[in-house]
Amino acid sequence: MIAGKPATRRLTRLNMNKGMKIMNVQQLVEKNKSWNLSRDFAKKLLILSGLLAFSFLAFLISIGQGSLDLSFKEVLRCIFLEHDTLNHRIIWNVRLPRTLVAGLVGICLSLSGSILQGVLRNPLAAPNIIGVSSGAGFMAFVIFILFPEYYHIVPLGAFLGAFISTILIYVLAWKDGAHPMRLILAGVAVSALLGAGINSLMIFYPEKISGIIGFMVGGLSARTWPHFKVLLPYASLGIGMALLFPHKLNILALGDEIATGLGLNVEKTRMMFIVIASLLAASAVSVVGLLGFVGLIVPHTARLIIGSDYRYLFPATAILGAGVVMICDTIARMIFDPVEIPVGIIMALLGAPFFLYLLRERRQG
Amino acid sequence: MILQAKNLDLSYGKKIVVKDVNIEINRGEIVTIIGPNGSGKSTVIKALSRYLKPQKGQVLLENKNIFSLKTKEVAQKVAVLPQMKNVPEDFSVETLVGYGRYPHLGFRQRFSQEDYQIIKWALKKTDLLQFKERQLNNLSGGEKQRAWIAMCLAQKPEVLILDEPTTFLDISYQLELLDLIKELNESMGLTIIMVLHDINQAARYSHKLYAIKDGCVHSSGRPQDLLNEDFLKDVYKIEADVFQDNKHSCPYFIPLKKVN
Ligand SMILES: Nc1ncnc2c1ncn2[C@@H]1O[C@H](COP(=O)(O)OP(=O)(O)O)[C@@H](O)[C@H]1O
Ligand SMILES: [Mg+2]
Repeated sequence: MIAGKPATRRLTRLNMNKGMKIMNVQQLVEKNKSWNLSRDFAKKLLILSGLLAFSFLAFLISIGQGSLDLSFKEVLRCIFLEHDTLNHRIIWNVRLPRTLVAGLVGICLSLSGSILQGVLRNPLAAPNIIGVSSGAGFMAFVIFILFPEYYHIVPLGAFLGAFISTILIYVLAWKDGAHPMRLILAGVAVSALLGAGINSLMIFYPEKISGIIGFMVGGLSARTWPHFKVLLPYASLGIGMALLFPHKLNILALGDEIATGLGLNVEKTRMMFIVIASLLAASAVSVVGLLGFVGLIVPHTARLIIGSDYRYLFPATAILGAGVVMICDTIARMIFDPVEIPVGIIMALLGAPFFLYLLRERRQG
Repeated sequence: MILQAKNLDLSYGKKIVVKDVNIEINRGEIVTIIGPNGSGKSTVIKALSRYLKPQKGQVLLENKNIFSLKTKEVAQKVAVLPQMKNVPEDFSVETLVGYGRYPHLGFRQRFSQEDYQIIKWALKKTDLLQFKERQLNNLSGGEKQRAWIAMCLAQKPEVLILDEPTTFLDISYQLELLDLIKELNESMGLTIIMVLHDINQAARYSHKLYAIKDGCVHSSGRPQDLLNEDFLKDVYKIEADVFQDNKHSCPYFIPLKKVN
């Protein structure tokens, strides 16, 4: 029955026959359903806003905390209003660029992981599966040990190493197409090989290890505007792609045959995404070293929170990734102040238990 | 002729699994491919839907080599529901069906009013309107299969290719699905190519059968011409009694025993 004023209700009853009753019930159901739809959409928007709030908070905390403590209000004033105070200079020259680099690195690595988890249809895929870590690590090591006078090109070398090993893996996996499983296996094999290379270099040049250890663990100390400028184009590329192509990844998730049937050029799309994922991760690694864990844990967490539809998953991943790296870097700076520990360690220490907790929750629910 | 396979050799890697297959499909026909497990039915379907590139021979869509057409052009005319597909559990029915419009969308990938109309129509045809906001993992096997078919319908294809659409469904869902397919064929003139396991169902619902054995076309023709005792012995190695179903004017059989 429809609800309404007594008069209307009487009128309805008067006119009521079977057909009308069915129509009314249908209308009610229809109304309910559109409400359901908007509820699902609203839920996802709410999650996204929550993540955005978290990241913004992380941003303010990251800039405010340090040997000089500033309140949120002071932080905002220093960035936007003041110009030649000491606080402004500290924030503008030291903290802001470092925090922004942390955010961009988070975006790059987690988007990269998110893309790969979709393209390879494997929830455990991460940038290191396409050789990014091993390739970058190997090249960095080679430069550092064999051509120490060119130390300043380590970032460039790492970038090339990461990208080239992706291409190598892709070529090795190709056989009438690059099947996801073959890509993963080729990735594991190439990474193992490069890992062996790194290990042998460490054995032959033990005295050089301490110099490169920072790169291997990944850290953000002394990162500033030039690093930001290196990252910005890649992060923009990643964000642009996330806005433009979520449907392609959704369709790819339906399986190669369905995707082909829907008119998607599967091999071309897959290659495009792998190249983008590699560029994203390579740029991040070249700036902060082998900060691998973010690319696995953030995309997976985002997926658990918001579902696997890339229209929502991409933004959620990018926002969460930025926030997580910013907050972890703050902790890394603060916890044993004045000694800094590499952010990679904090990430693993906090991320792994949280991740396990999420997984367990999910299985019960 | 809307779709034609000419002297197809198909292989996975070096292993040739389909040899010299010729298939002709006329517009508006229901054509069913039957044959024992592993005989190469799905492989032929993959070639017809432009997923697997032939080692030799050609697939022609309206007399054009299907591999000289763009993936998208083919997808505007041919919809395919393969045997193997991934189900992203938390997609809604409407999202999945919406992807049927993908081959018709422009670069901006936005739905027009017409696209929404077509999606609604596809949901209605498959009786899924009341499930449209449901997540796929909350559907029964039959409903899920209907959702996939709705996605294919939203493509507004001229040819619909289905690989074992009834497998894993219980008998009432099987009939429901086959009746839907028949209705689509009759009301819209949709050309249907499918693989079925149940030979009696194939005989009842198809205009034409192709029997595949060991990667070759064993025989083809109208069900009433094809289905007889010798055929079943030859292709399936079974002894059977074949009868005429006058009500549906098609043959049917009762299997007796396996022969060697
Ligand atoms: N992806 C594949 N890679 C290698 N061999 C395959 C693949 N798919 C099928 N085959 C082989 O090809 C033959 C035909 O398979 P298929 O076309 O799936 O048979 P059907 O659909 O008739 O049961 C079988 O021998 C099978 O083992
Ligand atoms: Mg098969």
